[in-house]
Formats: sequence, C-alpha cells, structure tokens
Amino acid sequence: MSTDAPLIEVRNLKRYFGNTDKPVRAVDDVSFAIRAGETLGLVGESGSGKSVTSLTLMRLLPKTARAQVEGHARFVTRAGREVDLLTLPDAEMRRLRGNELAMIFQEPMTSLNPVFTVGEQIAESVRLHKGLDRTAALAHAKRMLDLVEIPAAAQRLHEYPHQLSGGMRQRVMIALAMACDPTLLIADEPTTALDVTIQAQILVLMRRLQAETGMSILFITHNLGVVAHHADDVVVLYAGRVVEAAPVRSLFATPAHPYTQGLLACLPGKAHAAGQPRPKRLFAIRGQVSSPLSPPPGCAFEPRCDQAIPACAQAVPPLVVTDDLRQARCIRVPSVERNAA
Amino acid sequence: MSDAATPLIEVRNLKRYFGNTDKPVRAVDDVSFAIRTGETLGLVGESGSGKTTIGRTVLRLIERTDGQVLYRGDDLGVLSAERMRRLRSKLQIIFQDPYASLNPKMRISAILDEALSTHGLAKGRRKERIAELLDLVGLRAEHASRFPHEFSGGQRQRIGIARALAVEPEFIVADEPLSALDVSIQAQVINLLADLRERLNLTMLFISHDLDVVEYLCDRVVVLYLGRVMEVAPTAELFERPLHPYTQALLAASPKPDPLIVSTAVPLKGDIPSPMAPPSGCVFRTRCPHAIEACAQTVPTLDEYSPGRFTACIRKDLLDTP
Repeated sequence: MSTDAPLIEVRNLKRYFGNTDKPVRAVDDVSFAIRAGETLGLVGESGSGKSVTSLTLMRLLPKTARAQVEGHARFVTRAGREVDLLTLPDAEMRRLRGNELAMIFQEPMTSLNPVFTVGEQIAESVRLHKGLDRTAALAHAKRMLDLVEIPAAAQRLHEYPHQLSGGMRQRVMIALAMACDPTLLIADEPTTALDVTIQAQILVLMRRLQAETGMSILFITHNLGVVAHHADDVVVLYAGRVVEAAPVRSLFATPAHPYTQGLLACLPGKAHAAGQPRPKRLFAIRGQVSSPLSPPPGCAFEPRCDQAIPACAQAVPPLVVTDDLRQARCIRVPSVERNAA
Repeated sequence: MSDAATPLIEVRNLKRYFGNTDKPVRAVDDVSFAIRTGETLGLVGESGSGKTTIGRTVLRLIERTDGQVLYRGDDLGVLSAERMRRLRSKLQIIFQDPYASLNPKMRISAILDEALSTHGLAKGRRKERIAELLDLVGLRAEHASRFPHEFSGGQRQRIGIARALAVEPEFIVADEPLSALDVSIQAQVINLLADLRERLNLTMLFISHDLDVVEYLCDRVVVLYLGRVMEVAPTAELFERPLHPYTQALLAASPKPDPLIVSTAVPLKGDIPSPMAPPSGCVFRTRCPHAIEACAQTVPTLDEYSPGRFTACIRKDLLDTP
C-alpha cells in the first residue's frame, strides 16, 4: 500500500431521512478513504446504507428527499485542489460529476435512456465536459465502445439500449462512465443483474481499465466472492454504520466483528473444504435486521449476536482501532486504546 | 408405493417452444432426467437456459410442446384437468420472489386456508393445522392474522414454504427460493429446507443459479445451457471434476469467497445466443474454447462417461486427458 494522501476521504458521513424527531438513519457514521488506483469494497445487506452512501457522495439524491447530511467527503481534483463533495456549490459539483467522478449502476436497462442511441448517450458527457463537437464526440464514443470491447462498435453506436443484451448494456454503462477518464469510479452492484459468465467478463474489464487509467474504484456489492477478488480494502456496513474495515486478506482470514464472522460463516461455499463431507446445518445469523425506524439503543447487531453481553445494549460502540491496526465497532474486540488504558 | 426402481419424477425428451411455429423460442429443447424418491436434484444454468420453464412444465403450470413428464410412472400430460387438480396436492412449488407470490390482500391464515380447502384437507381443525404449519417453518401462530406486507423477505419465503407444505406434497419444485434474500437470511432458509426435506422425506427439484447453494443442498446436478442438458452428475463429482467445457467455465466464473483462491481461468467470450436462433450442432460451441468444426454439424448426445455421469460433448478426447 502506498502512503500517498488518499484521493477521497469520507469522514463521519451521516444521512438521515424523514422528520427530525425520529429520522431514518440510513447512513450513520461512515468513514473510509481510497488511495489512487485502489479499490475499496463496500459490503452490506439490504438497508445497510451502501447505495445511500454512494448517492450522497455523488449528490444524486433528490432535494425532495429532504435528507439531512453531516460529515465530510474530501476529494482531490485533477487540478490538485481539495474540495468537500458535500458542500461544493451545485455548479462546481456538476463539473466534477460525470467527469472526474463517474458512476455505474446495478440495472443497466433502467439507467440508460431508452430513447437515445448508446452513441448519443456517451457523446453527451464529452460534449458537456470536454466541449467536443457532435462529430468529434461521436468518434470519441466509438473509441469508448472499442475500449470496453464491444464488437462492431461502429454499428452498435447507432443502436438503442433495448437492442443490446444485459452484458452489453453494462459495457455501455462503463463506456459512458469512462468517457471523461474519471479518477474515481463508483460502481454500485455493477454485476448483480448479470449471469456469472458475463459477470466474470465485466470484472476483468473493470480491472483492465483500472490498471490502464489508475482510477480508484468504490465497489459496492453484497457479493463476498466478488469482493474477495476485486477489492484491496473492505468496509463492512451494518444498519448504516461501519462495523469493520480491513485489508481484504486479513478481513477474510480473521474477521474481527461478530457480524462479519457470521456473514462469512453462513456462506454455503465456505461450509466445507474440498473433499470434506458437507455439514448437516449451515451456520446462520439468527433473527433479522431491526427496523431503521426503531433501532436498538446499543449496538445495532446486538439482538442477533451470539457474543453479546449486557453492556452491548447500553450504548452504540465506537469504531476502534484493533490490535492489528484494523477497525471494528464492537466492545468485545480488543483495541489499542482499551489495552493502553 | 411404487417399486424402488421407478423414479418419483421422470422427464423424457421434454420440449417447450414459445411463439410462432416458423421460428419458435426453444426455451426447453429435448431435456431428460429422473428424480428418485427423497432425492434433491439441482437444476443449474444462466438466464435463458430454461430452468424455470422446466420447473413449471414439470408441474403442468404451463403445457409442454412435446415429451413426457412421468409421476410414479404415469404421464402427467395426458391426465384430465380434474385428475391433475387432485394430484396437485402431491406436487408443489416454492416461487422465487416472496414479494410477488403472496396475495397482499389476504391474511396469512387465508393464504394457508386456501391451500387446505382446495384439497379438502384438515377439515374441522384448520386453525390448528395453520398453527402447526407456521410452527414448522419457524413462525408463530399469532402471525396467522397478519398480512404479507408485515413480514420481511425471509419470513415471506417461510410463508411460501408453509403454503407449499400445507397439502403434504411428495415433490416440490423450488424455483430460486433464495435469490431474493440477503446472505444472512439465505442461510436460515437453506437450513429450513434441509430440515424439512429430512423430516418430511421430500423429493425436490432445486432450481438455482447459485452454484455454492446447489453444491450444499443437492444430491445430483443437471447443468443446462440454452434449453439443453450439458452435463448430469452427482454433486460432489461435478464440483470435483466438471466434464463439460460449459460446466468448467461456469464453475471457474463463480468467484469463491476467499481471496487466496485465485482463479486463472479466462472468462468465456461473447454472449448467450438468442434462443430464437440457437447455433447449429452444439448450442455452446459459439463460446466454447474447445470447439472444432464437427461441433457445428451434429447435436451432441448425452452420453454416459462413468456410472451416473453424463456429458453432451463430442470432444471425448478432452475427457481422457484431465
């Protein structure tokens, strides 16, 4: 890992929805940093705040959501200037979005415009951000389709999204995101809607583009298999909070937080080693995520945790640095501070 | 009881084409397999491979185009509607989407009661039976008076399972019952299915695209591609040494949740062809790294490689050099 200053550093991000008396805390204290050229995996189940985090950073949530936002998102622009994505004026944000910051979404069918050809859609962003004229922008769009390995790019340029398969549409999404050569790509479940053989193609493509351009990727997914192979660092979210952050290998080798431990233990793919008989039962995390409208007073995972003690229900545990210099939000995990005290 | 040699369900040369007769969509094209009593057979494949169509055609929820589905040796396709309706208590299905497969206007008690009354079961003790069923799937009796929207995805899938089990079936088609659920909830439902299967001696056709789940739950696996069977094998042997090039690619493409297991396999090229115009010969040949000219000529037959292992590939030469 390099010691360079990170490209983006998110600190204590909070995003609440609804009335101020009893808001839904969709994102409640999320912090992470991504260095240039690295991939951060943001992992969590439905409702953990993955997508709200990404939409907040891109400032894509509608104003009508009347969401309260707190925290900082320090981003280093191409010009070397430090900006806070959360407080940047709208006009400046528009210059960054789709240009230095790009995003690909889960569902390529609903995130492409069905009434424009794919060429026009890719050309739009370079016309806007790079000031190219129609012809030059369309030529650039064709180069982008070549870049994402779409066969017969010159012909595909004039096709509409419905004429493409799911995998091709996701390639178009990536071409669109890459059109202005972004330094940060936010990929929100980019392969979830795809078949596994197509998923493998898209992952290889993303990796190649990252190696060529040196961009950073915020990779949002619930698929632990994908995270294991495509992230450098992993942040695990539960009920809107970071519960664990660690380099990918140590996270999978020695998960510190009971939720991460449970999540890895309940995968059927990890239930038995090759050649061993399969166990009669899988490990299962009991119960379900508590409603965001009435979160438990203490640790959000406490009602489902096998290692919970009475103190867990008292207060939300802080995110602490563990003995091996990772982060975990659990009062039962030995921490540097607690050992020193 | 039939004798042990007759499988509970046998599918013979099943075909299901959709659309006009000139250029139909060949959703299922000449698929055969058998399921023994108490066995769980996995049906694996990507979108458009015909998994769901097979599951529904087996239960006659949609009619076949050609071929046979035998239940205890009787062809379900020629039964009268009335006889089929009576048989349906023995043949049930669990659907993929627990949000779409429960009527939002009905209380859970009514959803389960409907299944029971249709088949005239548990007369006079419906309430007790409904409580029993909810208990069986890990819910409480008081849940009976609630509506589907009051439950989480995992709980709804439990209700879907309770409805399928209400009529005491012998055979269940489970059509991607886990894919709408979060990982931590998946494990709960997998355990529930495994428990119930053992307690009630259920026979299952388990349809899934998740290879890890299939490896865990199934006794044997049928691998489908574009409506055709590529390979059939006992689960452990299939995952140990896949024979068909497609199975090999499928297993290699599925990322293992362990950063230390690095796959060196090159991903398959191209897209799944349209089922309206499938490739001649072997349907997989357009993406197969081992395809030769002869692959375009003839449709490969499903041949036995070793006892219980079948593969549909003419490149027999590849099999001898593992």
